[in-house]
Amino acid sequence: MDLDKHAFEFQLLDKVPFGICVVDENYHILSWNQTLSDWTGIKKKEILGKSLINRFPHLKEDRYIKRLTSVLTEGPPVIFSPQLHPHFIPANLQDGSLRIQQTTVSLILTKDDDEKLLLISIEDMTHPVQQLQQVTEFRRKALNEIEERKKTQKELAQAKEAAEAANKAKSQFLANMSHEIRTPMNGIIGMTDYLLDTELSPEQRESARTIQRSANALLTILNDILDFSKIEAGKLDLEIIDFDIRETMKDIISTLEVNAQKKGLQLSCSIQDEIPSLLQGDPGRLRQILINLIGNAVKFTDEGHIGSTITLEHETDTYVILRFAVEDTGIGIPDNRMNQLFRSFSQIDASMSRKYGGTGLGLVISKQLAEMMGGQIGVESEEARGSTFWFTANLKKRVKIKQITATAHDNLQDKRILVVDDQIKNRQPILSSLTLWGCRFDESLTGQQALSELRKAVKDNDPFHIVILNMQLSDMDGETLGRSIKSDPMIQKTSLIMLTATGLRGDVARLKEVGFSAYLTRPIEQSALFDCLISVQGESFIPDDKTAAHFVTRHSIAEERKQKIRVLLAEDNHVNQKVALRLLEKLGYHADVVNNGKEVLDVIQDGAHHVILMDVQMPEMDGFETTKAIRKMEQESPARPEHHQKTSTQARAMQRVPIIAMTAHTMKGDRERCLKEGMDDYVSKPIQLRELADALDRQIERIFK
Amino acid sequence: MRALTPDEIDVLTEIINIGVGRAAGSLSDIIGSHVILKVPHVELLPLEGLHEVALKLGHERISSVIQTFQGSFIGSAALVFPPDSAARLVSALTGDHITSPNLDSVRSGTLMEIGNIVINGILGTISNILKCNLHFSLPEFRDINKIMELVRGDDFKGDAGFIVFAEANFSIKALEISGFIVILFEIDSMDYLASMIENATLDGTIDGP
Repeated sequence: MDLDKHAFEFQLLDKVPFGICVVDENYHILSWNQTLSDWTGIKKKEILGKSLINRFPHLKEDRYIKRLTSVLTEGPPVIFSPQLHPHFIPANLQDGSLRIQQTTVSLILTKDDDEKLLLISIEDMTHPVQQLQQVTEFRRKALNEIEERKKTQKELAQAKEAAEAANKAKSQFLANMSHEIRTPMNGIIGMTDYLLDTELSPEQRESARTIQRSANALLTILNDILDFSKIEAGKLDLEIIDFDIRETMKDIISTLEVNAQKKGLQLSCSIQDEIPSLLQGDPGRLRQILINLIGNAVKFTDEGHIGSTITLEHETDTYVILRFAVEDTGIGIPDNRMNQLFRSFSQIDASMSRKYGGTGLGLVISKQLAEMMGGQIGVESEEARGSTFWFTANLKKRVKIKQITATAHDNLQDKRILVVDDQIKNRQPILSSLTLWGCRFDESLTGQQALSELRKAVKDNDPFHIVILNMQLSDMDGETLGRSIKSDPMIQKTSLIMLTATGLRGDVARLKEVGFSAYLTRPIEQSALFDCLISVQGESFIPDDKTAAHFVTRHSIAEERKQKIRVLLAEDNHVNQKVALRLLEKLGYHADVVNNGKEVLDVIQDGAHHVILMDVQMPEMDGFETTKAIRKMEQESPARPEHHQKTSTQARAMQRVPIIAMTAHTMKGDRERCLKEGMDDYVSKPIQLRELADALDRQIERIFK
Repeated sequence: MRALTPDEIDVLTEIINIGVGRAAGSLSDIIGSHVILKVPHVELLPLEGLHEVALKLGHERISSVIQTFQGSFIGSAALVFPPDSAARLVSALTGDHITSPNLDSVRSGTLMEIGNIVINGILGTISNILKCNLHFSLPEFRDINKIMELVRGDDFKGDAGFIVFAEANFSIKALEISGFIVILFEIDSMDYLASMIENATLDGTIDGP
């Protein structure tokens, strides 16, 4: 070993920032550069010529020595990385920790190739490794924090779940309680109505009226609480049914008019002309908001006027957004109280509830309902001057017009009909119906044109049988046209049907006088028009013969339908039986009563009933079981030969009897359950006349389609 | 110049197989898991054939450790992984939790050491058996988008005849790691390779044809 021989070359190595060491085949150290001396504190003099593996005995471990040897025997260099072998030659940093190294060992040959040496080159990787550790540590902390957060979130979710469950239980309790109260209320309200229809002394009548008022007031409060509990439970759902906004408004105003008149207040309602009448939505809930807002206005206004206006905020092909505003001249609301109005249980002043009554839930419910209808609610007010409460609602336009399927077309096919109206939008629906029924028809835009068409048809020996005319025409009004027709002997046999959008009191009497056969208001349902044409056709009216005339109106059509209908009432409670029968009678229906499900099954076999009004809770066989049995029966015997079907209506009844459930449960799920169990509709107890009428109308509509 | 006989190719395959086997053994020792190794595929290609090899190996992003050598013949050997396999391997060895398949300088050093151990296993075996005189470069870590760059062949002279291409797939089930070992070397003449193989077999280092 000749150290001097290598001395010069090795001096160069002092100047590089790597730790460099050269050993011979026996690991004796030939070179030890300054950097290594600085790192380890071992001077060159001390270490040159010494054995590397004796000085640093860990290098005798397999994982070092085997690979070091392989460089000498095979040639390829080896690498010891900072993560796997960080301390090839241990060297302390100033802080006492060990320097982290990346070590490369390569083979070098002496000039004459007679000696194999190992060049060990060490790079200080402490800084990059520390940086990496910091980043890793930071990431680990961040991950821990995320874990912690997730845990907290989970706990929060659990707490929320528990709170919701408790809230749900509360709502369920409220629902149950209101059910318990509503059942006897049914008896009270129904029997009081019954009592008021009997002969009573003035005192008795006043007492009965007081009972009636109190019961109705209690029912309102009960309904508010129930709605509120539904809102809390997230169970308040909207229906989507067809309705006529103008009819609905008319109805609401007439309901509230009585109270308003008693206080000497004027109630008015205006609906923007552009608003289509036929919409889809939840008219019941719309009515609820409006009754609440208008009712409040009546309550808080002592003199003056309450005006409701409906304006069109936005319209697309499929929906409209309407703005309903109720303006009063009442006590108004102080600025600082306005934001409390729509919050639970708050009237603007506690003394208010004592003075004016009410639960304070009305506006909260209205707000919720308006929001569910895709709208908003708000108020503008000036103290002592009055308030304007408004809300908006998104309502679908009715797209599909119910079509009557082919039934008795033959009766109309040979009829020739003239439609007189200057508005294409008015003529269009009528013409498409007439096309559907296979009628022959023509159209006229003016009264004069109509008259000449009618006369020409008589001359051609192909007279028109029926004229459908609008009240407003561009050259004369419909009534004048009617008079002209009826006073011309040539064409006076033609039957006249007045179709108008603006029904006024007294119209009917006057038109009947003129010789019209029918008077209908727009919009008219296809089925009603059909019934009307069937009624009118063939009966020619002449002015002189009007006493015998059967004058057709929307109501007469409905009445005729009703008279054909037999309702089966299934109800076990005798008080409720009486109540329901009175209501049905009031509505003009014939009804039979049975006490339980089994009796229903016996009676229904005859096929004589068109609609079943069924209590859900009955002994022996409840409403659901009975419905199931009926549906099964209907399916199994599509046409039972042993029951001779005497009339066509009976045949339909045997096909599928509509069943309307009556239940004191009023949570949303009950309604769904009723429909799921094969029932067709649903009324809640205590039965409200209007609700029952609507349900029956809907089912009867179906029967007649 | 003659081509190699099938027997000679068998011997060449066997030599590489021994090397790869030793490399897999080293890898298995380092990570403490069983390494499943397929018998290497060895073929002789004209230099132009390199392009096809690159295509065959695919175009996905890869991490590799490559070592080149010169001497009796020129070539390179590489340990190649999909990036996430590389990251998993490093994290299995260091206990680091690595979320990104990109390796920093410290971690690529770790991968380099592993590659070094594996590649040395092969190259050491080949140089021992063939008794050829080779000079080796230091291992180099490459994180590249195309395998083309790995086998770009710039190092080859190109005026000679053939490239020996050897590929061995391996996988470590427990760690969901897969990868392959590629060896490429250029031979000036087939005769020279044949004579080296002959020497090796005469020597009894391996069983001859």
